[in-house]
Amino acid sequence: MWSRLRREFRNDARAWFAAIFLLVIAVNIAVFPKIETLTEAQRSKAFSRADTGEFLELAFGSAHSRTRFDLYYVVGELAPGAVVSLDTSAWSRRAIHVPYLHYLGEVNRVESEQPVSVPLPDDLAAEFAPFVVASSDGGSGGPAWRLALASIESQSSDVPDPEAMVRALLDGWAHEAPEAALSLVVTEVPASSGQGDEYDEYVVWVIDAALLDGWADA
Amino acid sequence: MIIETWAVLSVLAGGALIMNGAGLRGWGVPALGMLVGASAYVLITLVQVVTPLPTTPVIGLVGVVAIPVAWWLWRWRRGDSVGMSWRAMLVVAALVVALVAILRWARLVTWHGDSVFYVLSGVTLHSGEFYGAMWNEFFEKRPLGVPALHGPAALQNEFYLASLTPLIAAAMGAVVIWVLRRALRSEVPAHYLSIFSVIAVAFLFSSHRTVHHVFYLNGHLLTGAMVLMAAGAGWLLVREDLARTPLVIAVMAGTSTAVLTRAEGALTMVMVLLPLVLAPTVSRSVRRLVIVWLGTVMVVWFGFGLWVSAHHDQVYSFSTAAQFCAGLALVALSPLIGAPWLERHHRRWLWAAEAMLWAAVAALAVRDRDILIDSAVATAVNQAGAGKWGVTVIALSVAVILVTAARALAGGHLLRFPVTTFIPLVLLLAYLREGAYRVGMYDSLNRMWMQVLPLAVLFVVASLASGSWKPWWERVVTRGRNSPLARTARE
Repeated sequence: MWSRLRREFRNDARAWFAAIFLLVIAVNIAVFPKIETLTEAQRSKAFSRADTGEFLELAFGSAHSRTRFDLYYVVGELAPGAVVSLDTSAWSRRAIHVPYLHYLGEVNRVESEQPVSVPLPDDLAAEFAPFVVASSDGGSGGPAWRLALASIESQSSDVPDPEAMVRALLDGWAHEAPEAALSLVVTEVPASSGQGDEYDEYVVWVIDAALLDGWADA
Repeated sequence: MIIETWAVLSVLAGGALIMNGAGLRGWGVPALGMLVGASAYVLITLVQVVTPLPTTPVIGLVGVVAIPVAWWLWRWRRGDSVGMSWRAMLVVAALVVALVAILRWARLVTWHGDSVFYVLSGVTLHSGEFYGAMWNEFFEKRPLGVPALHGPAALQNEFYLASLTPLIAAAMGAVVIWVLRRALRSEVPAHYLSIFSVIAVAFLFSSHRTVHHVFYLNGHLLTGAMVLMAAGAGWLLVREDLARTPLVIAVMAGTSTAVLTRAEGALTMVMVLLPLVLAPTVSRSVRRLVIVWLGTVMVVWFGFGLWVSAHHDQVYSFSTAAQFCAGLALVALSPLIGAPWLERHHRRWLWAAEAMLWAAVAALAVRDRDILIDSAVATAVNQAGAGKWGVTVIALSVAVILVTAARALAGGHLLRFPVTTFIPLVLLLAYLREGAYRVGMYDSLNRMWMQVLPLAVLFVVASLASGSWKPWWERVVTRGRNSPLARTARE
């Protein structure tokens, strides 16, 4: 067998090609577990939930989903079975959001194309520029709620504490719309260069935990 | 489980009947059949979508079997040779059922943001919300292929078919071997053919990213399989003129599915079909047919996109309008195929086309060099680890360059051209989308490697197994001396 192999290597270049290919395959297989370990670490961040008492944190990491689909997951987590009113001034592409809210958000019905707005004190609005993307009157399914996005795209280290910001905003809203159970969703973009695996940034939604109690009872 | 088994078996049975009815025999029937069946299913969904037919996947699942059965029966009653081994069919069906059960049990799936879009679009096909859920992005970036193929999952209240992409990956691996063996069986010793067949598949699936794509809810692997099938069948058409019908069907099936699966599918297929369309050894009717087919699919799909934009009072996208017009142009210009001035220097036209792509990239880089530099740096960093391809892309790129420069493979340009034009093509796409590629495993280009990798592996392995040492400059001179024109002049 060895003599035949020697003969093949001596007489036919194809034997060398095959050997080189086998070497490359061996390298690929050798690095496979290491790559898998790194990938697993990122995948595990895909969805986590941490209840910090007053506020509930829904965290979406990796998977590069960011705000595109997180909204729907949050609706599903916050209020499955809700009747949702979409603010079409904020979401012009209403058509695609309806099935998304149905299937990811688990809402019962999507209605009303009238803008839903909650005015904020000027100083807060100027600083965070949050906008309401969806709301629900609740009804028999639970208390009323609304979802707002406030992007913090700070590249510096002075990213405000999300919980403090939520508290400030809730205080601001309470004067304007005391009849609704209020919630705020904050999109936190951590300081990163936007490159590398860091690009799949951690997205944190902070929600008034009391709101979920109402839905849990429903 | 029952719905998924029905869906996968329907796709396989439909495709296998098409290929068998077309005259294909042997184990290539289920291998190519799986891909052709997937293509047929997507085409039926396209018909459902652009006509007043309901968009439910049930019609597709029934149609993908009923239409090939009717055709097969018609050929059988006419007395054509359509025999098949029923025992082999049962064995393949049993194997597929077992794989569906295992893959559903294992629930191996990976996804990212685009996947959610795809699977939800698939669900809307069943729920009847499809037309309301579309907007420009659907036609520009995330076409029908993946939503259509995973659409039957909605019949079992799920979002995707867990076994579909792995089975398409298995068919892709089998097609690599099938094309390799069919093309080289008469010129490569059997033991080398076996060794290189194993090496091709082992190399392809030893990469972490390939395994990722096997379980990834996206259209890259599907497109890669279709590009492989279309280019591989085109290569066989140039090398042999036997059993032409199944090869032509394979080219057409790969073409339509790639167009309907990826935003850059139409451009990619132009690169795949151009060497075939210019090949003088293939009959003119076949070459015109494939280009008219590409143009027709583009006109139907992107024309529908324009109609939807108008219906929703949306501004239609430039990309959709441009590809609609390009489809019309392909159909209109198809009579030129076979013109003497086009055939006389058919290989030079290819080099000119490739040079034009690079020239376009250079011109755009002069205007905005940041996109090019950022893309190049990000791609280099991705290959250094962030892209998680291991050494696959680097090793294959080196091999493609060496093989292109030093090995001569009969008809090898049909495999080589879509591979080497991939780089300028993706750089052009970066400019068209006005954004550089980035570092990270979910970067578009890092995912798009999967679309060209299977074909590149076939090209390299076939060249090493069969080709002879011949520097490219010698080939150009020899070809010049032996060209039809030179022969005519000598005579």
